[in-house]
Amino acid sequence: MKKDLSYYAPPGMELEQEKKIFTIGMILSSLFSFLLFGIEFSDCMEKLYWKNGAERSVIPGAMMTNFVELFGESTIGFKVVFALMIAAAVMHYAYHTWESKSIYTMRRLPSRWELHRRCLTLPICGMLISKVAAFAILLICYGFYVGLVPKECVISGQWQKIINILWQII
Amino acid sequence: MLELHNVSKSYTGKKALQNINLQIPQGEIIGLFGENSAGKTTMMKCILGLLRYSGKITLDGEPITHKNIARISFATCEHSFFPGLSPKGHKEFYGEHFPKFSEKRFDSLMKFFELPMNKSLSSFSTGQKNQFEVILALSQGADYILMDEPFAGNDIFNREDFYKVLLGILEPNETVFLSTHLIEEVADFIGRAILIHKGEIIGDVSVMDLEEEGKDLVSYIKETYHYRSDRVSKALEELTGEE
Repeated sequence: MKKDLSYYAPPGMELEQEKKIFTIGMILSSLFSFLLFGIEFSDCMEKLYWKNGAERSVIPGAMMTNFVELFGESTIGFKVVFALMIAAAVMHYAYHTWESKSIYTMRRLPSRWELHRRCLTLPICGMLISKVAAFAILLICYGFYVGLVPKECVISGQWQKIINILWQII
Repeated sequence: MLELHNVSKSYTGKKALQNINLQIPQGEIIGLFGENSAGKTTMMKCILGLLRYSGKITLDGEPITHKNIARISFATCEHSFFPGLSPKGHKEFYGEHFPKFSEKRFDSLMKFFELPMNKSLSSFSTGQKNQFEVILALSQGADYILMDEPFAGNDIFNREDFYKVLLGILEPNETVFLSTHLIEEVADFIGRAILIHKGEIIGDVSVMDLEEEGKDLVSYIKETYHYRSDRVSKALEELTGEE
């Protein structure tokens, strides 16, 4: 059997719809993350400055909001994608009872793990990709934060704060 | 030899199989007969490990596990193929998973039944689906071929064709364990009949022995089940009031 994506999915299952949903989900999640973070970030940046006509200067003693608070729920889209992957795994198992009982064939194969391999591989990959993408977006946003916020306004220990709640925010 | 020792199975308190003891040697065609919900399907599913049961089922003395399960194939009226996959896809899948899968037999049977190779199974008629289900079971390269009412929905011509093919292609080591209600149709080519009633084996007979006693299979089955041929006429009398 040709080892394309279908090799890791239930035999005969139409994957196009799942691929489309996953791709759209990832694109929308990325856009949503940047948009939400961008709005929060620019609002907080504004509060660091006072303006006098075209001139603007940092307000003495003004401190930037912590990155983790700004980033907040920006990656919620990826959490939705993650949940959809769990649903996809359930659907892959259920597929073996639609129209026929191909579950009987899968359960009596000499290779014991074939059923689980075909039902779980793609959803698990999707989950991992969503987590990696969320982390990559966090890094990009943190890069903006570090690069654009005046150094004197950054509260120390930002990275440590990220590490402390990393699992929650991605 | 496929052996069942004291096999019992219950569904939420209701006994589906009760202390079944059975020996099925290689190279026989065996008919399994019984009324609906007698336990025929349950017995086959227990053999395949699709249901949990108490007792012991062995294949040449070994428990049936993933190591020897390829020696048993299964054709069911519920169908066990992948509806979204074409016969060509099934051929590749079975070839990959069953070491003794016979491409030659698969191709010959596909040709004989004139089934399309590249269409998905979901586009097949019920009769074609049944034929394909049987083709897969016969081509898997199994020593024991379990068939659970595989012809439900097929017309008589189709079934007769199948019986001829079956008799023509079976190797001496291949055993067919066939559950069906079509007793008259299979009576001529089965070698042994097993009768099951309410989860218990109530008859196990060689067709040759029956013939020697001057009995035919249908009469034997009716006799064993205590079939009362006068019950229809009595019911009609009661309904119509006529004698």
